[in-house]
Amino acid sequence: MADQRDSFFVGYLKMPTALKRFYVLVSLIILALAALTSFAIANAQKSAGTGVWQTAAPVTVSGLLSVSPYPVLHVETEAGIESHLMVMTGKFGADAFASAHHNTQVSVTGFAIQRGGWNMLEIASETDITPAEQSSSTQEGSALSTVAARTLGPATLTGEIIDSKCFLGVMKPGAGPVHRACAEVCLLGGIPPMLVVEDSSTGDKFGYIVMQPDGSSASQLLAKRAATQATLSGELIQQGDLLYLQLDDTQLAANSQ
Amino acid sequence: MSAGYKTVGWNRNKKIYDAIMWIAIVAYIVMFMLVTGAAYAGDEALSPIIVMMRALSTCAFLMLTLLLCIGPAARLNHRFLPLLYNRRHLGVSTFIIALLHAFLAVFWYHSFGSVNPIESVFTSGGSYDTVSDVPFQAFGAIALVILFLLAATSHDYWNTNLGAPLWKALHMLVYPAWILIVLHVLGGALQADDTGLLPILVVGSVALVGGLHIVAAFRRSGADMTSESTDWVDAGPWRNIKNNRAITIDMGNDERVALFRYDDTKLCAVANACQHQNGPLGDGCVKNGKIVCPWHGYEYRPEDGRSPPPFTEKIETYNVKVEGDHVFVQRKALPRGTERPIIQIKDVTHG
Repeated sequence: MADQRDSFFVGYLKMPTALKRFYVLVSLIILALAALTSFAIANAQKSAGTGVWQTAAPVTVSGLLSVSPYPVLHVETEAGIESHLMVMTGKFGADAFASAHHNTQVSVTGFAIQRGGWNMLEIASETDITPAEQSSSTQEGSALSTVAARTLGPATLTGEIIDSKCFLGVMKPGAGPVHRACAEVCLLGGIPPMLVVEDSSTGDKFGYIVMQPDGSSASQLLAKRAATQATLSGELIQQGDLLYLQLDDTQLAANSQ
Repeated sequence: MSAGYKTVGWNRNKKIYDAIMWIAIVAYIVMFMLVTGAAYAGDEALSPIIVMMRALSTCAFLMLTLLLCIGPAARLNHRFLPLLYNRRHLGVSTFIIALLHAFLAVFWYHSFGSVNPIESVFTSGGSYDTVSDVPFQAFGAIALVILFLLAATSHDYWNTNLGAPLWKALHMLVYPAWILIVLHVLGGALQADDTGLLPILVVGSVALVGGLHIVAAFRRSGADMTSESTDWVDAGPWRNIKNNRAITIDMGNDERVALFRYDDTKLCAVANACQHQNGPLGDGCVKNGKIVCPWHGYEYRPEDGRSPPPFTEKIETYNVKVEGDHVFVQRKALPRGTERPIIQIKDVTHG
């Protein structure tokens, strides 16, 4: 048997030749495993949808601002009314800045957040909302005097309660258990909550903005249930191109417990 | 070995170790970002910060798994000792990668809201009503604090001032940290994963770390000579000890002794625990007339258990005798650094 001294490693001495060959192999295996594992895990990630947060340049959109239960800018287009949810930078709703402009024509400047047919505007300060007549000629849309809310009937829906800002494109993915704490903080800050219902056969996602039975914000109410699966019942309402679920009283009691 | 302290002790072997480690880390992260970018671009692009968080977290998890495998692997096969030699740099690097992951997570998921970000880590996204609902990030945060503690005390300054037993006990906290990280992954990323890869990663890690430790412990108990309750402990035939190597004897009183045979005919016994990090001297060798610790190369003279000047470490020594072809070690240890006769096998057998 070979003398063990020949292959015994002492850190501050030159590595024995036999060990050197072994460690060339070990190093190559470690590097290959690092690359392969990284490739496999990265490649297995799921898509987070097509949401985008367009922070390259702000856009200015004009329309009718309503603030109940959440700030929404309704814009009349050739295809119909396009409704833009409004939020603040960070994890805050835009209620504080928008409430002074309820039911008025305004121009809003902010970063666009879009996913599928959903639209959102992220504003930074109250100066981002200006009366329509004072805004620039780059505005889109035209004057709307009112946007009617249409009741579609009772509904019971099962899906994930998410914060609409992250889900629509600020965070990708902006849903699921890992995102739960963020969603909770967002809802505590007043970001509109949305129940996302997935069609298991097609993978299509449908979003319903949730409000309380009295038509007020349900953000705080649902904060602790963010990023969890829930079955919610209430009245389905359409306003502009947004669908709302107005919770019924029993649902409210269940969520308050 | 060093007679003084340096901020970071580097030598050629450590530099090569660190270079390969960081090339692997950078390769892992760059590969992760590139593959994700190729898979999801344009409107489907994932958030770069989230992708980076995922790259850092999986990288840190794999590094910690490797880190925990090195000890038992080196006990099972001495060829893995070079991985153990610079394990502290791997540990500190693991902490740095985990810290970057945590920083991004706090910045991205917990900041910019109405809740203090650190408070949010422990209170948002769950409750403490049931074990299954505890916020998964809390497990990660506690693990990170432990890893910080270990990284901050990984220097020989702390090793010396805390003493090897306390230092070693402190660094055994890496196991609770690892368990917390497993819980962190189970409660977080694993819940969102439907690729099947993360469960394989976690189960593989647990199986590898657990399996290696069990096998190494089993091998160790089989390899140890166990003493009887006499004043002298029969260590078996001296021919069973390879030249310039040792066998480890369990003295039955929570002490273990490394019994060396060197220069073909000489026998000596010393305490098994190195004064540096309590490394197993019985797995070491005799090189240039000195007992060498397998972990970091600390040296002791066989005749008195003292490190050669200018070093000052001392270990307990033991009397040895040979009867027939059997070696016996006296149960009672001599004070650290005590010189005693070195037994020559030839003298005994032919005397």
